[in-house]
Amino acid sequence: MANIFSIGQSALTVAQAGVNTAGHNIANAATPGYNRQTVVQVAGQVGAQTTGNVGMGAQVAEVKRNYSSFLGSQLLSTQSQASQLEVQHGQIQQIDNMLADSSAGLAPALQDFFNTLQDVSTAPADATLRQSVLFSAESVTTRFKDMSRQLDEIDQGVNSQIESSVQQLNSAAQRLVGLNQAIVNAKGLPGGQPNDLLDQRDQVLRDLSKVVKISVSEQDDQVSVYIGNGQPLVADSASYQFKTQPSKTDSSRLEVVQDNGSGAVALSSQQQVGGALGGLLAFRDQTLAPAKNALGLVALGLASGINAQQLKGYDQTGAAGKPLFELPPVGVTASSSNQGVASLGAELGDISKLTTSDFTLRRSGDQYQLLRSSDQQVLKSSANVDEVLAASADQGFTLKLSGGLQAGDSFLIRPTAHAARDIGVALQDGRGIAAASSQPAAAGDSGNLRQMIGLQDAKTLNGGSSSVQSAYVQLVGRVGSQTRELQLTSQSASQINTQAETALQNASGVNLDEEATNLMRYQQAYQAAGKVMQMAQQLFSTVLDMGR
Amino acid sequence: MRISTQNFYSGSGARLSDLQAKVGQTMQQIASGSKLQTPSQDPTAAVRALEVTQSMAVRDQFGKNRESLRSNLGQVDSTLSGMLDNLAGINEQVVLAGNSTRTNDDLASIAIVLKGQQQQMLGLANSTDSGGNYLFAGQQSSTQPFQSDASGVSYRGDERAQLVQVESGREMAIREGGRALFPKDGSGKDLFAQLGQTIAQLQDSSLSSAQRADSLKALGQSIESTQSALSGRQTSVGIRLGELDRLDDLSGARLLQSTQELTGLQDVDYNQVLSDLSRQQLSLQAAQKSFQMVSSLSLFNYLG
Repeated sequence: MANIFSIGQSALTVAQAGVNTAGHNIANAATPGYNRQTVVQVAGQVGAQTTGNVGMGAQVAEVKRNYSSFLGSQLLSTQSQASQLEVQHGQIQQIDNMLADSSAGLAPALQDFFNTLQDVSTAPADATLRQSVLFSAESVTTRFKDMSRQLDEIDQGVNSQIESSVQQLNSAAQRLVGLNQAIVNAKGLPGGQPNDLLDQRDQVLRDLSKVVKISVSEQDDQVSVYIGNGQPLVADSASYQFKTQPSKTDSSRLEVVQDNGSGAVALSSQQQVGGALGGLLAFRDQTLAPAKNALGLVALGLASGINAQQLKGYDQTGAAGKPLFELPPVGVTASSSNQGVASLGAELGDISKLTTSDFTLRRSGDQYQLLRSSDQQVLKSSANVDEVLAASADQGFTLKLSGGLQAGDSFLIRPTAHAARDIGVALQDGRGIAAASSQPAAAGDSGNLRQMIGLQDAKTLNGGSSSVQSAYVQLVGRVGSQTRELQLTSQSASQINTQAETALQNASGVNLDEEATNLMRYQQAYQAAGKVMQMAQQLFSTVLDMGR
Repeated sequence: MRISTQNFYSGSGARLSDLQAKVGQTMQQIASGSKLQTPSQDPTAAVRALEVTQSMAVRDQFGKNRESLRSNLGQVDSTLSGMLDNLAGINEQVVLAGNSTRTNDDLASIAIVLKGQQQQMLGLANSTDSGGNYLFAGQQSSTQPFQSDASGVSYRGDERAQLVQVESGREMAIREGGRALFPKDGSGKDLFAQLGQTIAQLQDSSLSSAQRADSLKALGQSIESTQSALSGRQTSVGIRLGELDRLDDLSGARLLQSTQELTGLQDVDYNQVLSDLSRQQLSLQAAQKSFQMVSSLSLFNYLG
């Protein structure tokens, strides 16, 4: 007789576990990363069966976490891809918007400059017309500086986002180490799987995959996480921290590095970094830097073309022409880790050979090398440094080295990067415009001026294929199509990610109607178990009453 | 199929904000009248729009250059007419002076008239435009081209034309030299020199009419050659003014083409955009309504 009480009680316990689990599911319906739990119940197996095949009631085998690790790991990779493209698209949109504004900015300013030159050609002696050339030159250089400043601000924004990404990376790594430990500890205790800790760890991984592409492996209930080219983030129950530091050759550029014991290794956009961090690195290398350089190339094309023509003519006082624009210098920086005493000077050469790339001069072993940054191509490698220096002429600049390089030393050469920032107007007096082509300068001689006007259409850039204005138009077109492409790929990556997320959620998320059904089911089970107890009570009473 | 309740809400929310973003974009297009808000919306069109705008601006500047030329050449034309009138007046006096019945007093007063006309001619030949540039000095446009001193009138300008671009690949002279306006005869004398000599002889009462005849004849020939030089220049100015008109017409036609192209590239087609808007509005409303209906369905409503 005592048996029926224990059967009834086991049914009550199971029903209670069912109601509690449904309640837990309802409570966590909106918890990010929560996976629905279900009670797995089995028939009771306590002790040996007494009479015939009568069972021993029910018991809870486990509270199961409904989780698909296949869908979960799929989501990690779609999430990284989607975040990377979303960040890249978000960043490039800033340039896209800037160029949209400036299509009412730089192009008209350039046009105005040539228009004022045209005006002078109708009356070359007119002081007002001459002065207005300098005003329009001033407004062109202001536009260049303004756009360059906006690009620098975007760059600073990228730096601060890289910093916060690295912080997220490091704090996620530490949380993972903590969760790994907690899960191992919990598994040692009776009571089965630590479902909610597992959910939390999966959620940390999912959040981490927004920041960076991760590869995850699990062993002995602990996860290890690697990023980039296999740099460890969490391994052997320890976290490996990353940090940001300024590039050795460009202090305005933050690099993400990890000290691997034998020196700092930087994450580069060439690797599959992925996630928001990968998006930032790729944007900076593939879009921002080339856009800055392309704008600089336009500025250099204008300044050097006009200046060269100025030098061929004579100004209103009859003197030989002087530069109209302040020509920005070629930027050269020595790596802060250079051991040698070398210093490198650079000058602009044939402007038509200039590209939008940066360059590196370095010594590796006994070889000197000139490296083009845009495609990482070594243009010249030789033990004879003069041969390597001479190779720069084909890239539109010339190099002059004094002092010796030691192995490992390097210089960063940026012919165009700062040109838009540094361009200025050198002439103060409109009489200085070298309109005349011959000496003594006649008041109405506009021969040289008309050559200057001709520079508007002259294909002086990109190996003689673009004019100053068309080089700018190309920049607008390139950024426009890159933005468009990123918009499309980002949209599709985000859709794929949403699908993966929906698949996972549908498999393991909470459905409130389902939980309502469970509640009713377990409520009824509880009531029925109660009835069993009541019945047992009545049976027991019957036996007791027999003696009266 | 199971559906996660949370995912239903977040998914519906995302779809609604997508639809709202589309409505927002369309409204922005309507408000600005431009379908190219940023280059990325249509990179090819954005590039083309920049090129077209640029070529329109260049064309516009050529138009301004032509305006300057037209104004200057108009002045040159009227100055040349003045010079031709003046030359006709000189010729009249020469005919009067050639009449053998003139007295010395008559001739002296003719000389005074001629002197005045010589000054007038010199003034016209030294005309300037509104900017103070001499019309007939070539590139020496701030140097007075015809200067008179004790030895007569000498030309200080040059023969180099000042060119201005009036169309791509076409330059036109806005100012030219003036030496050719006063051709010299076999003895190396121009109109001013012949006039000077004649005036001096008319004032010299000791000379007979026969003695003055050579000088008057030479002056007559100089008047003739000067007249043909002035008319020649006037014709060339007229031809240039005509060309400017034709270039204006051509440029106007091209400008129209460019404007139409730019409109096609940039401007919103309101019919299309408004119909887009009402379609987007409809689907947004439908999505909102269905979200409201579906989200209010819950089994918990029946648990009591």
